[in-house]
Order: sequence, then structure tokens, then C-alpha cells
Amino acid sequence: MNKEIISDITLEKFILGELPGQRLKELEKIISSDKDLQKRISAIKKSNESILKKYPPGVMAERISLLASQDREISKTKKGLSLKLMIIPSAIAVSAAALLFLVPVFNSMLGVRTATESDDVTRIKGDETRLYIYRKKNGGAELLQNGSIAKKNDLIQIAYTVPKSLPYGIIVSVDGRGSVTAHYPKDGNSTRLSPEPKTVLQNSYELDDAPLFEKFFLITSSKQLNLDEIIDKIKKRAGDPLNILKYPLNIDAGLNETSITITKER
Amino acid sequence: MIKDIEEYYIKYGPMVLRRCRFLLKDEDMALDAMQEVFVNLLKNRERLKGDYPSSLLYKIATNICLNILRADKRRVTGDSEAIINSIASYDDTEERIEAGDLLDRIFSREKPSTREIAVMFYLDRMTLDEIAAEAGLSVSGVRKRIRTLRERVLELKELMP
Repeated sequence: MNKEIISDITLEKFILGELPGQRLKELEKIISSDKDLQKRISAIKKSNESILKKYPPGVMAERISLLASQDREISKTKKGLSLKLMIIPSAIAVSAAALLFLVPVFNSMLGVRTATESDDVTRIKGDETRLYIYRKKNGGAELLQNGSIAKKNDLIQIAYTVPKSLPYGIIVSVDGRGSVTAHYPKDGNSTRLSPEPKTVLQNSYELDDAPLFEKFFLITSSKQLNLDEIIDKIKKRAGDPLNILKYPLNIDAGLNETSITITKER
Repeated sequence: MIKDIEEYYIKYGPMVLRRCRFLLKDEDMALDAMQEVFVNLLKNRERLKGDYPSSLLYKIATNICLNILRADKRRVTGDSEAIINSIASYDDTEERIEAGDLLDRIFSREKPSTREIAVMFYLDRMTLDEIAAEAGLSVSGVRKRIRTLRERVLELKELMP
């Protein structure tokens, strides 16, 4: 008589206690005399422990909750865009003066803000430290705000302004996978910053498929910084990406920090 | 709500991750897909009533992973080929098949549930009774879908260069 092949999903349901009564009894009988099946069940239970240890429930629940709320925001934005597309044809028939009034109304419906500056500004003795994150688009650049949505392959351009009192700094980013990328300085160069307002970094940066977010940090100081040391400290913190998302780095008491978080579209 | 998500994750998360790992063969992609499954569950909570959550979650995980594979046609995974080769014949095929494209062509004219049935039968090795219970069909209905699918694959293989 051919031995019945028991599928993985059937065994999973058996362990979860989610098989109908009759099938459950059949399986209990089969498993009681089948060492291979007993080994498979044992392997599944070990795998359960290992997965919950590697991806702890508290962290995963927060991530899932964040993803679910991102989803809702994106749906709302898309609905708003559909509404805008429906209204525009009829708006064309409206006078120019009326349109000038209507555009800001549409923008506020969509939650689009007129972006001129970053939201994160540290004011020191009247001078300002600012981090600018731009997305390259159609030959131009769009200034992104804290929480703006971007996606894989978007090209990011970074710029900064620092006061004369903080001539040293580094720019890094941490993504939803906990990967740390150094944007400035590159290749062991000095951490000296330019005093010119809105200094743009030479190279643009392409976003990869890391989920949830990419958070950009401008860390400044009155003294020369050790890039490798700071990166090491950030990497240790980045082991818990959600922690990086929620809180400042606070690497060192003598350092100042400014950040902008970009939300990743899925 | 986070407490609910945590409880569901503890009970079903490992099962879902194992499923995604099996289909995607990539840990990062499987982890992303697993989270997607729970987000999807939150959106479709009303479907949980009267069903065992494991069935629904398994179905959602399978569909999300197959959609990922479908979107990434460069990935010819062993399991995609396994479906095609099993469906087409019991002999080894000599030709290397572009499984992503072939899966598309096979399933584009079929109902979405046929894809689920194919995965349950050829990949998961479930019995016809189990598939019928999952799919909400009769056993003869499942048998008919599998037979039609196999005929379709054979037609397509004959047309291929």
C-alpha cells in the first residue's frame, strides 16, 4: 500500500490545531507510527523557536503596523490624485483666477505642502544647521520633507548648510534593513564641511529596495571627527532599525545632529 | 492593534515565513513578503470569520509570493520549473524553459484559483480532498481543473521553438 504523502501545510495545521476533527484523528494515527513525520514536526517546532528569536514579535508587530499605516496613507494619496484628475478637466473651463484659488485647495486635500526648507532645523546662536534631501526628477530636483515618500531607484541629491561654529561633520543614512551608508566624506577624506550655504554633495545616491525608510543624518561638531569610529557606533545602533527610526542617534554628547526620514513606498 | 498583530505573528508568523522562504528562496524577499501577508490580513480581517487563519494566511502568502515571482521574470526558480515540468510530463524535459513567461501564458487565461490549485497539487503535494477543502470545490472539480491545466501546458510546449 502506498504511503500517504503528508504535505507541509497539513503538518503546519496539525501543529496549530487547525485540522477538522476527522482529519486530525487520521493524522494522529499516521504520525504515531511514522518516524519521518515525527522528525518533520520536530523540525517545524524548532524552526518556530528560531524564527521568533531571529525576528522578535515586538519588533515585527511594530514594523507590520508601520507598513499598514503607510499603506493607508498611500491609498489616501492615490484617492486624492484620482479626485484631482477627475476635477481638472472641468477646472479647465473655469477662469484662470478661479484656478489660482483652486490649486492650493487641491494641494491641502492631498496633504502636499509647499516645500522650501527641511523640517529638521537646529538653531545655534542664530545660525542654522540644515540638511536638504532632493529627489532628481525630469531634469530638475524636488525638495523632500521629513516623511516624504520615495521608492527604489529614486535618485537622491544631498545638500547642507552649517554655521561657522560647526565646521566639521559627516552625512550618513540608515535604511529599514539597518544598512549604514556614508555619504560625506567619501574615501577617508577630511570631515571638514564647506561654510557656503546649501553645499551640494558631488555624488547622487540611488535608493535600493530596503523597506520602510531611509533616514539621513547630518552630524556636526566644532572639532575634527573620526568617521570610522562614528560609523561603527551607528552600525551598532542600526542593529535595531526601528529604534533608529524613532529616536535620535545621540552618538556623543559633543555632537550635534539633524535628520530627515524618507518613507519607502512598497 | 499592535497587541493583536503580535499575537497573530507569534502563532502564524513562522509558518508564513517558511512558506515565503520556500517559494522565494531569498531571505530578505521572504521577510518582506511575510510582512506584506500580515498587512494584507489586517486589510481583510472580515475574511477570518469562520475560517482557520492558517488556511487564509497560507493562501495570501502563496499569492503574494507568486506575484513577486511573476513581477521578477528574471528569476527562474527551481520551483517554477518544477510546476511546469510536473504538469507537462513525467519525463525530464531537455529544453530549458523560461518558467516565468510560461507560467504567465499558462495562467493568463485561467481563473486565479487555478493557479492556487496548481501550487497546492504540484508544489505542496496536497491530496485532492485537501485541495477541494481549501479551494471550496468538489474533488471532481479540482480534478477537472488540473486536467485542463495539464492539457494547456502541453499545447503551449508544442508551440514553443
